[in-house]
Amino acid sequence: MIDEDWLKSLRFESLQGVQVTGLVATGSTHVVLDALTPEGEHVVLKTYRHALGFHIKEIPPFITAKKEYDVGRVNEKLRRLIGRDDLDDMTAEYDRLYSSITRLVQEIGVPGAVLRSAMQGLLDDEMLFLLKTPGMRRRLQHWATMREEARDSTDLILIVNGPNFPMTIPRVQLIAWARKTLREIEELPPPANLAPESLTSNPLYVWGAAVMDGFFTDDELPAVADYIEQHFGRLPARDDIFPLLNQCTAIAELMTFYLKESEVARFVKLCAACGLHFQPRSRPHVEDAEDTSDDDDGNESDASPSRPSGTSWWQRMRRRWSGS
Amino acid sequence: MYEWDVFISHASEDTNEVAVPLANELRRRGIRVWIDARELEIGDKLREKVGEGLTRSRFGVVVITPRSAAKTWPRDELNALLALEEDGVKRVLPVWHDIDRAGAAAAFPLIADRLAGSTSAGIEALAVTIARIVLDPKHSSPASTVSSPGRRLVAQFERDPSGPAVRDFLQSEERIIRAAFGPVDSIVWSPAIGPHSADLAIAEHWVSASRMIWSVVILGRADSPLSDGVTIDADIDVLAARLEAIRKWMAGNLAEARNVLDEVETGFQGMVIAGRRPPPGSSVAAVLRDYNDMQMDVRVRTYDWLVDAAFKMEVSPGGRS
Repeated sequence: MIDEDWLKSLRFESLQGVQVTGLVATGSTHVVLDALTPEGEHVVLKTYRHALGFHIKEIPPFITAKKEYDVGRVNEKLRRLIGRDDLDDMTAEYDRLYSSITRLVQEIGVPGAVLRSAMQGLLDDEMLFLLKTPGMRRRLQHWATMREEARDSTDLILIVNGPNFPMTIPRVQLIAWARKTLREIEELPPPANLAPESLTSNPLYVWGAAVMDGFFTDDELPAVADYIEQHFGRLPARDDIFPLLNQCTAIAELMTFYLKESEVARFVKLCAACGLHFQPRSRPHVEDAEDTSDDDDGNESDASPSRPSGTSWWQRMRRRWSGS
Repeated sequence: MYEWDVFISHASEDTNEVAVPLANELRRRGIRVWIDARELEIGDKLREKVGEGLTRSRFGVVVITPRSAAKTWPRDELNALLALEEDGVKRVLPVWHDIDRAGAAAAFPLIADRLAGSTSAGIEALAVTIARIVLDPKHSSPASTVSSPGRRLVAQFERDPSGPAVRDFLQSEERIIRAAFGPVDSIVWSPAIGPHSADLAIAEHWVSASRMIWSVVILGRADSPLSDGVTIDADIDVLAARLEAIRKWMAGNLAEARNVLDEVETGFQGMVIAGRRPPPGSSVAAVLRDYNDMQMDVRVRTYDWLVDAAFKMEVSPGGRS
C-alpha cells in the first residue's frame, strides 16, 4: 500500500522541469501528482503506481530531474523487503513479467504455458519456477479466495491483472479459473535447483527490483554489493549459491523473452557486481526470422503477450527443431 | 453558546513560533481552538471569518510580541475582543512573547495589567495555564460544559490511556474513526486474524478497481513517550512488528483472513496509533518521522490525529459525523 501521507508531502522538480507540489489521487494503476510548470500553469503528472520508489517512500528516480535518494537509506529500506511476497506488485519490471505470464496462462492454460516456454527455447524449469514462486501464488490466491457474490452490478465483470496485460473476466469465472490454476501449478513437478519458494529471500531479487526501477548508478553498485555482502554474506560462497544463481538467471531470461524493452541488463550488472556472472540468452531478432507472415506488433497490451516483439515463436520453434 | 473555546489573535510572523504550537498544545488538552492558520480556507473572507472567530469563541488569546505590537490587524482583533467584554465577562487572555512588560504596556495600554501568561517557561507551561482557565466550569466555555466526542476522547486519555480502554471508547464513538479515515465502507472491531489480533480494521471499497482497501490498526498507550529523542520507544516497535506478523500470517492464510476481513490483501495499510503529538521540530518528532520513513506499509500516528478529526467534526456541521 502506498503511503498517501508521504505522497502528499512530496515536493520535487520532475524531469519535465515542473515542480511537483503534492498528491492529487492514487488509483489502482496510477499515481497522479499535482504540479506547477515554470510558467505557473497547474498540471498533473500521471505515472504508473507499480514503481518501487512509491512503495519505499523514495521519489522514483525516473521522474526526478536530479537524484533525490541516498544509497544507504535505500539499502536499509530494501533489506526490509526481504521475504515480502508482494514485491512483484511494487515493481514495474516484475509486475510486467508476472502479469504477462498470468495472462498467458489464462489464455492457454498451465500446460500450454509450460509447453510454449519449452518451444520458445526457454527451459521448462524457468516457467515452472515462475509459476511456483510466492508472487504468482499470491496473485492467484487473491482471485481464488474472492467472494463469489458480486457487491453490485459493477462488480460482476472485472478488469484485473494491471494495465499492461489486462484481463476482462466475469467474477465467478475468474475465481474458478484461479482455483483451477493453483491446483494445476501445485501438481507440476518442482523445478530442479531453483527453490522458487525462496525467491523472495534472494537479495538480488529484491535489489534487482530497485536497479531496474532506476535506483543506483553504475558507480554506486560497488557500495550496494558491499552492503549486500555485509548483510547476506558473500553470495558466491554461500551454500545455496546454485539456487541463488539459477533464480537470477531464470528471472533474467524470463524478462528477456517476455518483456519488450526490459531493464534486464541492469539486473545482470547488479548480479555481476555481487559476484554472480551470467548472461541471459538473447531474444531472437526479427531479421533472424525465416517467415515474417506471423509478425508481431510488439504491443504489450496486444492479445499475445507471450510473444516477444519482432519475432514469432513458431519461427523460433522451427529453427530449434531444425537444429539451427 | 460558543463554538470554540479559544480564538488566537496573532501577527502572521508569530504563527509558527507561537500561535500554532500554542494551539496544538491547547488542542491536545481537549480545547477547541480557532486560529487563522488552521481554519481559514480558500474563499473565506478574512474579516468575516475573523469576526466569526471572535464572536463564536469564549476566550480570545492575544499573542503580544514586538511583531504584533507593530501590526494594525491584531490590534483590530484585540479591540473587537475588548468590545465583547462589555458585559463584564472576562474574554481576553493576553500572553506575552519576546517582549517585556513595559514594551507590551506601551503597545497595548488597555491590557497591560491583564497578563494571562508568558512563553518564558515554554509553550507547554503556558498552555497548562490557559487550559486551567478555559476548563474551569465557572467560565462556561464549551470544553467545560459540552460533552463533545473530542473532549471525551481527551478525558479518556486522562482516565485510562491504555490501548484496550481507548479502543472501547472509540468503539462507542465510532464516528471519530469515520471522521479520521474519510470514506469508510466497513469497520471491524477487535478482529482476530488467525493467531493474531488487532484493535480495529477499516475498509474503503474502490469501486473502479473492485478492491477493498483495508487499514489494520493497533492502538498503543495514549501516554506513550513515543521516543527518548534518540530511538523509537520499544513498545511502538513491538506494535509495528505485530502488524508485520499479521501480514506474514495472512500471506499463507489468505482465505482464512478473508473470512474476517472481506477481500483483504497482504499489502494492507498497517497503522499504530499511540502517544500524543510531539512539538514540531523536537527530537521526538524527528525520531518519529525517521521511523515512519523506514516503515513499509506501516505508519505510526499519534492520537492527536483522532483528536483533530473529532474536533473538526464538531466544528464542521456539514462534515462527516
